Amino acid sequence: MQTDTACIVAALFGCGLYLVLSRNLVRTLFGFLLLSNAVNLLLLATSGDPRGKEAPIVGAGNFPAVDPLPQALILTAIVISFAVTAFLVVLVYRLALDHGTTDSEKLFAARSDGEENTP
Amino acid sequence: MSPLPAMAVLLPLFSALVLFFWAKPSPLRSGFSVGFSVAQALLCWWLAMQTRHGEILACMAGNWSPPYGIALVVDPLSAVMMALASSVAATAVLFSHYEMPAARQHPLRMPLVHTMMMGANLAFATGDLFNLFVAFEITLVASYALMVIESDSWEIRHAVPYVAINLVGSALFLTAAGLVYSLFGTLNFADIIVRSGSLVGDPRMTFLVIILCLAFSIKAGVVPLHHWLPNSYPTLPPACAALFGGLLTKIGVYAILRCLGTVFPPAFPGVYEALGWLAAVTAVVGGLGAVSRDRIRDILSFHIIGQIGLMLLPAALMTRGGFTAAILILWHNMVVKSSLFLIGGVVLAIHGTDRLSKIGGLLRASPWLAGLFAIQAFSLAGLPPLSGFWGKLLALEAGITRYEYGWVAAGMIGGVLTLISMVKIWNSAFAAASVEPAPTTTDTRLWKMAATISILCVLTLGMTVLAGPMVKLSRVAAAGVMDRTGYAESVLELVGKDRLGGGMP
Repeated sequence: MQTDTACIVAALFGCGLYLVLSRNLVRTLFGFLLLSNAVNLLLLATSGDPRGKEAPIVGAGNFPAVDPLPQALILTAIVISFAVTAFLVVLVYRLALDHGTTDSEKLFAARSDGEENTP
Repeated sequence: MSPLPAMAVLLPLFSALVLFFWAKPSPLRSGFSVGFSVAQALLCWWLAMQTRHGEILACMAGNWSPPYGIALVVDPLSAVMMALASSVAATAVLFSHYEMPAARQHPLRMPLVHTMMMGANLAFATGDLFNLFVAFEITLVASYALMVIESDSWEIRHAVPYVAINLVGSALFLTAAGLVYSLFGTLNFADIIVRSGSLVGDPRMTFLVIILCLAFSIKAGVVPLHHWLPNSYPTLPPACAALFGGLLTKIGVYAILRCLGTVFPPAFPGVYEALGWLAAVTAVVGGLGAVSRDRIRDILSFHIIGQIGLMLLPAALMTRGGFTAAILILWHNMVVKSSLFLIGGVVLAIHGTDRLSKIGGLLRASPWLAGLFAIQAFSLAGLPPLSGFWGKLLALEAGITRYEYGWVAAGMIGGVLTLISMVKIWNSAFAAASVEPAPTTTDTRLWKMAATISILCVLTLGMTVLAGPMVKLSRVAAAGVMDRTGYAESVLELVGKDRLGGGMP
């Protein structure tokens, strides 16, 4: 069980990093989505093998129980990555509107001398 | 149990929320923003006064007994960091009030600045690894927004590398937090210290320390992970650039000091060796970059990188003397770096540009500004007797004591390059003959901006005059950071010391 999860996490990390390194900003965006999900899965895996364990409810006598803390961590991480993803989507959209491209090489090619844009 | 650490986080949260809903710019709103940032600075200075002998103030969220609740822990290092950060923030808020009329400012600028301060205070005060991650994210999300709201369609490109690299850094940090939880079964700093006793020398822990150092190095801008910094910071409005330069990368350095010094037991020595050499390269590359650039804000941005190298060099020695030097350089740098960015902002306001080839004659036009620049620039370069000198002296001493002559040489080269680039700004902008059209400094706004910078200059001069007490305070802070047992005991004493039975290193 843990080995399977580790393989999926590794695959997600690999694909995510490959996409993040891409020149196209839309691909970078998708790469970040994969990366954040890889991390969430890794956090979930830290609660151990869930087979034969019950939901942790106080007073219900469920024992052995699954460690609930990683799920709280994931919830926080999901909220944060949601906010950042929304920001990134808007940023890429605005760049596409302003410059007509999402290719970072074209985006940074012109006037790379750092000349100020003030008229 | 003391509510003060929580107050330092809640106060900026409150003012950020009020400013967010009070969107219409007015003098009263600016006054509220300035007033609350000053109040927060006073609160943080009071915290620093309370902890100046090495006391630790702890506060458990929701009154949960440690290690289960979220701990807010303030020791001398965090308290002084918070005090200096909030003073810089208060000055930057006041400066942005004079920089442009309130109606022209983006209504979100002030709420975001206050949110960033809340994140910074939380990062300095937290005693929990996951909470540190959240604090980093709060600060970074506010900084992403500040970077784009006032930049034009041309500058906004530079936000992309900044956001992208920090996202990868955050993913790495979160990964490390997950692995720490699976290895130690806890994320509370004090509890990690207690449980790490049996794991000294474990290769898994070395791996964790490497990932955490990598994540913090991205945030701090250590070479070769620095490329996002020198292109993105110059696009910011000067008041925000001052805040970013004085604060954001410093949180990364603080996190490295806290994790290596307090939280994790000594890892494989090669890790520190590698960190030291990276810092050495960072110091030299940052200095070279600064010398090569032609705009004041570009030069200052590259300096940030060089200074990060100078802070991490003594820290990588992992001795108490090294940490003392690193902490002193860190404190001095927060004040000096921000005020230099603000001085760059005044130059920008006078000339409309800060390109060195197009400006000049400021020594004659505005001797007061020239004086401010001279003090701060030569303090940054570390000329005696200014405040930057003492940190460098301690770093030199710590390096020579450990026979790390390569690192000492790199630090010296970095320092000389800083001096050269500062002299370059001085010669072109201040000492050179006036350019056409001659700068006009009759605007009262400029005087107010210069007066604001004087506040930070007084702080620098205070650190110069009180160099003895400052060195003493940084020794106390370094001792506090490296005292792992004392830290764990202070935080966990609420549940009795019997938890700290065996297993302490």
